[in-house]
Amino acid sequence: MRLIPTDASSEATRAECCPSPFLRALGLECRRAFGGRPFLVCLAIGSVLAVTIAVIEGISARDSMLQAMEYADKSWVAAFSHGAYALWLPMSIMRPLPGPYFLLAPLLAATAYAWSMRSDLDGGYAASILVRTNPSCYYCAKACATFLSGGTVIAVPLALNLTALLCLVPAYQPSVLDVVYTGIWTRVFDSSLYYTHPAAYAVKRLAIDFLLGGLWSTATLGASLLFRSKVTALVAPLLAAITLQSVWTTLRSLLGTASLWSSITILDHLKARGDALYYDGWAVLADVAALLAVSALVPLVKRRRDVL
Amino acid sequence: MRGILCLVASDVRYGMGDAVRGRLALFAVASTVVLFLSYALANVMIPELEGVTLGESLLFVWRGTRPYVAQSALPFKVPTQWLAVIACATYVCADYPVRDLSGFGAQVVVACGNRWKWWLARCCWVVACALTCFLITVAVGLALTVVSGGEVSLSVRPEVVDVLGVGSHDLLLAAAGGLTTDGDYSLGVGTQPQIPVIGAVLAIPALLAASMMLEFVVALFAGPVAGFAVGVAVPFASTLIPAGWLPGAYLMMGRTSALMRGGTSPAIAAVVAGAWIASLAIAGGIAFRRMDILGRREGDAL
Repeated sequence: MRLIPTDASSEATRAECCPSPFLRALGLECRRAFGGRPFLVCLAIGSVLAVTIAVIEGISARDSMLQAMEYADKSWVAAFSHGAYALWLPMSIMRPLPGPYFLLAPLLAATAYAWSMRSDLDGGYAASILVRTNPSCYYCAKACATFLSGGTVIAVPLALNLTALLCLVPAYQPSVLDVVYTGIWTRVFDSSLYYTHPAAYAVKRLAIDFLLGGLWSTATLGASLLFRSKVTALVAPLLAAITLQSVWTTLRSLLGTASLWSSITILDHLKARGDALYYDGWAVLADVAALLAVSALVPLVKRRRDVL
Repeated sequence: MRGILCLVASDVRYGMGDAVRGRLALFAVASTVVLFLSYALANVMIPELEGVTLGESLLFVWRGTRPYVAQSALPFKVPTQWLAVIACATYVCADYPVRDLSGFGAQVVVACGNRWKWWLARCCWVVACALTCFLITVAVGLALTVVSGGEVSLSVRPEVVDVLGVGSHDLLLAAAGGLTTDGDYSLGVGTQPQIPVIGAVLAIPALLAASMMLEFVVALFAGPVAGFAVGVAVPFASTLIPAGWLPGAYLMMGRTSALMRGGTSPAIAAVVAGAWIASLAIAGGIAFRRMDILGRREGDAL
């Protein structure tokens, strides 16, 4: 009895049904990334924090509004700054909680799956995979899975934060009348879209944060080839970003006026604007290019060495 | 007791050597960068500033930020310079104990015959790491003081504190002796009265040790990345939450009672540091006694 058909038509049918090696590797890596405990833990931590912040901000805004309404006939109430879009995490830069959240977010994004390359190399899994498949195919599939997992860990909690806020406070259209309270000035990237179509801005912001979070994870994955320790691979890029931001902000104070300087790190680009510096679309593009370069160049350089 | 001392000596020799030498170098570089940037900034703000004292050099590195007032119309600014120093210090002992326990350390625990010995030796190692980090900042600060021709004293001038954006403005004004007609400080740089900050300086290694102990305990039970995140997040929480029991409040020299109204007291800092270190050492030690250390593999921990 022939268990395996060998005729040409069966081979052709099987080739049509079976995905390419890249798609098979991608499917495997995505299952590992999205089914793994680190991803679920990171997503849970980010989501719990984001929803908790939404509840805190929502209750605080409601109390402030109720208090202010008593004096509505005598003074400006600043109702627009208490709307859901104004209180949304990336937009509420005048409030204290987004600062710590967006410091933690890149670490969560990287911890989701960016450690896997180092882990595969150390544990011997990479050796068993690389003898069966093309190294470029393996790395590209892993990079794609890392990109998707990192982007998800960044974007989903932000979406949950906005959803929770929309359940708690009115979705006022943001107004420039309350700009002193919201801090979204003309120079803020895409501020015109924010003030005219806040829902469209929210979708665009989520897409940008997904892209940046995903690329940060992919860059961390690439950089992990430079380090022997998984912890170093995850922590070193964040340390570099914090130090770079610190140096850049101080140099701005030392050398020039704020208008000539732009924030350059992901720590600011995940928010509508930085604490001390603004940025524009070109700065985000430069950030994307830098992260892409790290993601691609480090593995290309390291490919010359025998990873096994 | 001799066994513990041998373990501590071994940890210091190997742990401080190969395992964290590079990380200590990274911390030294980060401290130096922060120090010189802050010094440059102070020089721009006070053109007549020449030498800086050792206290001011340490303030450049460990100044922190003013307490955040939630109702103010000013945005919350993350104190990135201070945070970079804290993060680099936390990174120093991020995973060495866990890595060691997954490898040769597990055999050492078995050879000791008593888990408490290994545990206490590692606690001593963490405290030694904190002290080393602090001494590195002292060495770097001392170098700046000597190079700039400043005084080697643990005191600071009010206007230097003020330009760094920490301390209470009114308290600093009172210390400086009031305002001139221009609304500026009345005394010229160099002749100003200096405010002693020795208590705040001594509090830093103690609270840094407490913070790193917390990181060590979390890293051992939840993984080094979680330990690092907690080790940075807990001191950082003090920038937002004005709670006296959090170690971060005492890691910010700018918040000491000598410089800020209602600031932190060095005596309470000693109590808080002692309470954190003792409770973490005891609670962690009890939990470590029941921990499965043989099922771990090097590289498993995240």
